Amino acid sequence: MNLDALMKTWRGPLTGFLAASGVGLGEAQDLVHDVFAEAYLGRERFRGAWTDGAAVGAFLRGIARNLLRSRRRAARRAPGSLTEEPSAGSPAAPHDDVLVAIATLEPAHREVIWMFYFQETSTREVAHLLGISERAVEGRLYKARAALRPRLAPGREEVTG
Amino acid sequence: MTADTVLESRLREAMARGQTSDADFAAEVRRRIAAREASSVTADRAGGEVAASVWQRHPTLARAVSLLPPLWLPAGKALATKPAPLALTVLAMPVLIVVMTVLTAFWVWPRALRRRGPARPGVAPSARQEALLAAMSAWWREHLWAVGLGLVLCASVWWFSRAEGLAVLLLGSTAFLVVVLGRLGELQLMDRQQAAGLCGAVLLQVGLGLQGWLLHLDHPSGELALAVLMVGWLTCWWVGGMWQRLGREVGRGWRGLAPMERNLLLACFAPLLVGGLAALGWAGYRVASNSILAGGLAPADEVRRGVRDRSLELAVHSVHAGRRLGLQPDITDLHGRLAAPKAANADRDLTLLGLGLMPLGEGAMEADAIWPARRAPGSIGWLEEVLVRARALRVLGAEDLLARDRHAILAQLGELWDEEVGLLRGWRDSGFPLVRHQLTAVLLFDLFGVPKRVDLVAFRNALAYRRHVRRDLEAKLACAILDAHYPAARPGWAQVLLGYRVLWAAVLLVVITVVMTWRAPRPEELDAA
Repeated sequence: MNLDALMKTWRGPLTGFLAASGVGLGEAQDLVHDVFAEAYLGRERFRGAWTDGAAVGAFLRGIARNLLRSRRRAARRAPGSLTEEPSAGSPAAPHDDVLVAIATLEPAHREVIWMFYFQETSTREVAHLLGISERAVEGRLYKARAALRPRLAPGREEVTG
Repeated sequence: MTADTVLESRLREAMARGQTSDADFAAEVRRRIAAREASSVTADRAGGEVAASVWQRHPTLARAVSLLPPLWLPAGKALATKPAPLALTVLAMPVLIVVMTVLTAFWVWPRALRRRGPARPGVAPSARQEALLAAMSAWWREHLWAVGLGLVLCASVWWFSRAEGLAVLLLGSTAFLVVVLGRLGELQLMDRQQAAGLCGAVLLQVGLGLQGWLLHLDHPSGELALAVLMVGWLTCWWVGGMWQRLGREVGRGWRGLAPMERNLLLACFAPLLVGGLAALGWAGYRVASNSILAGGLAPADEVRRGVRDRSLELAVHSVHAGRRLGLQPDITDLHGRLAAPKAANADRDLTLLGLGLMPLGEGAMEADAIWPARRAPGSIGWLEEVLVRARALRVLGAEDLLARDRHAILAQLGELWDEEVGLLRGWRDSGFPLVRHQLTAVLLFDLFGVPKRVDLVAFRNALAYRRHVRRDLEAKLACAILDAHYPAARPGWAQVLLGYRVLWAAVLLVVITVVMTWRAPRPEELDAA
């Protein structure tokens, strides 16, 4: 397996995937290191070709979910160790209104927004990671953008620069 | 600018906060990999392979299952070699002895025989059977403390060495059997069939109950001992006429037996018979397959097998190992596989491993090769990467960098060795694999020399385990290189004899059981007396 290529392709959508699951962005960025480390150490368990995006996506998704579950279990034992995403009532940083708006989206829409926009990512990787079709990803993105538009720019149809 | 563009740019800006560069990200991932490898290697000190993920995620389950003899687990489960904590292993040993050997052979078996009744159904148990059972129970009550002490002794010896523990257990079983049968003989209670039943049960239970450990020794005596025990069981039954009795029982049909008794017989006897024959067949196969005593195929054949292996990594290793053994393996096919765009693009580490097999200039080999060479020695992660880097430097002719690395690499190998074996080396001689990537380590020894801290004798023992028991091709190649370049001193005859101590103990147990069965009077002789 080519670890560098794997990280380059999947880092963005994986971080988005984790961030969309409810852990904070910082936590997701930390967790994604562990996902790649686990993937590398468990590479012998991978069945398929490393060039097969769907197979790799499913493999990474499984690892990410397991790690997330473990992290949450640990957080339950030590409350406060897991940072949650910003709530709708407490925007603090300049971009928090964006994050808060995203947090109010439906889970499926929130997921694709995070995964698609976090880094330079194509809908194909997002689709592979979620195990759905690219058309479904595009549809969700369309609906998510439509839901975000009035929340982030209320009353404006077009902005001139 | 459209609203969508603004929206997208705001989304990207919001998410770009706190993002680290790709290089920093990759460095952090590699650091975590190295840390996990180090911790998993330490945890695998006595076990070799990393456990399967499901077991890793459930340590309690892994600990419980790891108490089972490895052969009871499904093939291919690396869990088979995942060690239990030493204390738990020691605790498990007496429990298994009691359950599998003593209780079954001396308590359940006679009671099962008694429940089956005498030769004719519907007739009450004979006075001799009642007396036999009473004598056994009395002996059991009187000598419970001695049995317990024996179990403690076995467990104590087991703590220090598996081989000695097994030998003591076999000798203890022998003594136990001799005393019990002697006592029953004095009381004129034991006929040949009953002796055969007891002796056969002991051999069968010892063999089946301990097959996991017998086959787990780093020595062929385990396999041979298992075969001897199983042959002894069949011989005892033959000498004692148990087969005729069995034939009579079966021939008379099941009509005379109550349904409960039929079920009991089926449940107890059928698995034992099938398991015993399977264990015998397995042990025989392992002995006969020549890989136990002779170490398998000749090195040239092993190398050829390795080069053809589906794993490119192993294939490349095999070529390098073969060259160190003075062989010139045919690498035409491998060359094609390595030169394929898929291999070159998909896995840079793999391509780098192939350095030296392909002429420079093919694909992006040089560019890739420089990648590890640029890394500082301190950032070298796992063993495989060390080897990749060393090969790259050698092929690139960067002997100065190689010399600069040598000290760091030797220190790292030494540290790994200390982590792996320092604690266990003095405690147990019979072995589990101590270093995970043995062949890589041996190839590094070959490139840089053997670090002072590394004990080649212990290393060779660990490899022998893998070579004999797991038939690991990498271990075989590593052994071949060690034998060729670091020959071991020839062991003396006493050492060789001592190496087979488990086998001798099993032979003694079998000889005594067969002789005692043969010497026991026939049922009609006992009736006449």
